[in-house]
Amino acid sequence: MKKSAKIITAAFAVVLVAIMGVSLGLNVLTLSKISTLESAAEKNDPSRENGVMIVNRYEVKSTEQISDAYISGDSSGLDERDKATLDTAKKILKDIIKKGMTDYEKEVAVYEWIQKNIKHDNDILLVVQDPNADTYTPQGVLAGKTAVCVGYATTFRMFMQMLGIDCKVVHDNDLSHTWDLVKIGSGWYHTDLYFDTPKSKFAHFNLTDSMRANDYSWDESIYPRGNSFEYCYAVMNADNIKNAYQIPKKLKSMLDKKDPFFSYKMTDPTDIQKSEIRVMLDKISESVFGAQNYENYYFSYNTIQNGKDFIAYASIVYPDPEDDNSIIDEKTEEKIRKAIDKVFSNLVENNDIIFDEGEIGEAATSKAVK
Amino acid sequence: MMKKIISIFALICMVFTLGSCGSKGVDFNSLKENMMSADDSLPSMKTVSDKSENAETLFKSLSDFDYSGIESFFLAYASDGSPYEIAAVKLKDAGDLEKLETTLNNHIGDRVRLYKNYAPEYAKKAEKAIVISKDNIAALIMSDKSDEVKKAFEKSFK
Repeated sequence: MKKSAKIITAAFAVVLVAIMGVSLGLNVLTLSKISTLESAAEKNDPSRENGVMIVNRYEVKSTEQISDAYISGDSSGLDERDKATLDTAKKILKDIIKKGMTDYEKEVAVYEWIQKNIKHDNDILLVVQDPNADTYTPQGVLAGKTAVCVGYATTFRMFMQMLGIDCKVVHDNDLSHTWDLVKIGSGWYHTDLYFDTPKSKFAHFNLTDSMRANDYSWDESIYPRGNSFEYCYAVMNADNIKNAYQIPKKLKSMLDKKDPFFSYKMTDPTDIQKSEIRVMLDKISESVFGAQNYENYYFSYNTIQNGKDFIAYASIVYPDPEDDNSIIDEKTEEKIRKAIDKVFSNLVENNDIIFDEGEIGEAATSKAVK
Repeated sequence: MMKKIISIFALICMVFTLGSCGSKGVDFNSLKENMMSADDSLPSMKTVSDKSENAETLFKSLSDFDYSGIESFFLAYASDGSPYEIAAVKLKDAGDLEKLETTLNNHIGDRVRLYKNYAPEYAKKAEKAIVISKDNIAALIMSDKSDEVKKAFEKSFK
């Protein structure tokens, strides 16, 4: 009896030790998983400017080491890649920044240089990207001259910081886009170079918080507020209008010149006059940009109130010439028709061709040939 | 008594053996070919798989599921960035299927957000993408002919 009691006790002890061992193992495993999750969360903490991952791919990285080296004149602490970036950036600033420029003029100069020289990296849409492609840091952008949104925003910020102008990279709440928040005078303004490149110059330049909030939301607690109109591009460059009925003619002239941005100002309008402006823009959007002639154009508009001034602003993205057949005039069209007729003079009209819905384009082309 | 115990044990073993057969009978290469050929309207596609160099890194473009739990996978995507993707992932443990499906749905959400920002004309197509699964395999279909690709996926198990 004593022996069997001993065996039972020993078996019980073995089972107990085994349970404790398994439990300990599981605890260690859980702790290790928690630690991994914490480190992952810390790496993509959206409550900070740098260190966040945009579209799960592009990390926003600080480049203060480069701007600090430019300001101090001491580049000894930089690695080779940063030194090369500093050298390139120095040359660019030497070319575009003139003595006596204001901060606003410096901002415009850098904006224009980037818009002219840095192209979109279209690989952003690919599911799998080239792991060696760097289009999201100033180092990669200035070397390769192509950028995704993070590349535009961090490159612009680096230049601003080199020039001693406060600038931050803002990310939206979805972690899908970035742009800049730059301090000019005493106010902060939103500038989105990615969306203004290549053809929408100044459409997203120095916007206020409320203007930017039409397109994106962001954590306002981690960025300065941008409520000043002083250097807001739409306010600074607004044309005076007496009433809403002047807008269609001005818009037509803008379209003819392929201007990408307009801003019209009416001082101290009545509520009815304000409504007339809003309805005019709504109708233009529906009837003009809904029409076949302008169907490939992208028109966006809004209004803001600055003191007594009521401002209507809009941007137009023009289609690529290669997609826009309306740029061909009648004379050229006739020339094309004659060239075809000359070779295919024996064509017999066929009225029996039936096109399904997906072939409307081909049907239209076929008619033109005839 | 002993015989009964042995019989029950043998029966349990048999049930487990048969049950675990499942998709192990599915030839993953055939599954890929069936799914890809079901949509003849796909644009030029690039394909990566568990056989590719840096397979683990490439897999992260599709899912953040722990790669050590993956038996095999393939991912075909449009080489021009348009919203066409066909992918299938085979798990070592079918018990993780729901978790894997969640990561594939997250991937669709990421793609939709990306398109909304950078190519809004593609976003609606991407929103129509689906995730389906059977046994220990989950698939993602972003195609104009989702129904055909889905049928090809299901047919591969018969």
